[in-house]
Amino acid sequence: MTVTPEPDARLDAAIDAAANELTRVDNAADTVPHVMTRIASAGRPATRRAGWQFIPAQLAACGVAAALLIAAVVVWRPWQAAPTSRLPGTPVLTRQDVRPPGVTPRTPVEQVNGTSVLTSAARVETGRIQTERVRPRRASARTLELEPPTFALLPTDALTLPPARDPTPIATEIVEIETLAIPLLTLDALPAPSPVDPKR
Amino acid sequence: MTDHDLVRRAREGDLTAFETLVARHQAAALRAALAAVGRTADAEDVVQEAWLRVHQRLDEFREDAAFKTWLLAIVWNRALDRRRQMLRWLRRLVDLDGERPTDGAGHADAVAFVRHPPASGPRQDQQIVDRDRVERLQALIGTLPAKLRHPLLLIASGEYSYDAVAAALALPVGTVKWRVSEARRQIRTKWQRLGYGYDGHP
Repeated sequence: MTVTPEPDARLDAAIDAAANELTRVDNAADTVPHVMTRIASAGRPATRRAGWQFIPAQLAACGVAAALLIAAVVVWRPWQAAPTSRLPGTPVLTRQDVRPPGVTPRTPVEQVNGTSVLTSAARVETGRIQTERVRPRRASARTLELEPPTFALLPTDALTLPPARDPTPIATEIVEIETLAIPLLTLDALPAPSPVDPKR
Repeated sequence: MTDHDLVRRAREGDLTAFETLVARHQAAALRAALAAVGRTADAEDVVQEAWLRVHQRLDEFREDAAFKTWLLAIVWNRALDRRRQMLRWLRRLVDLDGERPTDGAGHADAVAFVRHPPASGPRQDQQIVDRDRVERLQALIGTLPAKLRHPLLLIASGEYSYDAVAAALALPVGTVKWRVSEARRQIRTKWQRLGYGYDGHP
């Protein structure tokens, strides 16, 4: 027994068949090579896009790292030592200014790259004091240029100098010197120098 | 080998795997494009562009969906773009010539075709009668608004499920079903108003 479809259902089937025919394609397989040719010629930019997506991330990371580095350098200023604390107008006495009597002091101020620095003359003369340079900030350098430095020629034994590798800051020595009122000393007022210990 | 396997290989640069995907779904893609643009040459261009886009965006394909559904969405969007371009071109043509274009005018021509089919010789073959009915029905399908015609053509192609069509058209599945049903109903009504029975005879 066969079931006869309702007229609407049969018409719907006819409509679907007509609609199906409207989109029927007979040469689909023939168009595949054209598609592949187009794709082969175009390449696949998705991979390149992935690379481009990665590069900004790298650039951003590098930028942040560079900014942090620059900020750290600007704040820390490794090319400048900490300023020495002293009274205004008082010459700074440093380890370099302490030298045995009889040694003609050289000016401790030298121009290095346009900046006045205190150099270690004592290291040259005695060979006892390790290389050391005082690199004042610009304000201190300007002060040094304005007034000639006053030297206190002291025997090396007159002061208790820390070992060369002692990390004690120079400012500590200056406080000791000022406590002894050394800036007013003259050569005549100094005690007789003691010979340099050849063992040191 | 499943579509997902082929996609994975294609992502790694295997063009042969991608060609297998193209061969497997080319007919379905062409039918979808044809449903939107109506002309075979335009449909082939649309599908070619769609495959190019698929190839470029393989990395974006999520494997929780069917590849065919994803492909349909891309083809459909490209087809609608092409359709808009064609409409703009036709409007410019109308503005320049001062008259309506003869190609793609659509509804009025289709209705005229249904009411006054081209003269033909004596039809002694049932096949010829069936052919005539199909062509009249196709003309009526052409008179439907796009929002009803597109779902009907996609579903009637037999290539896509309601779910896939709903995803491609960005519509709820229930809406797609209603539109297909409504398209059939409107064609039936017009068909009967023209005095034809279900078998196509007056």
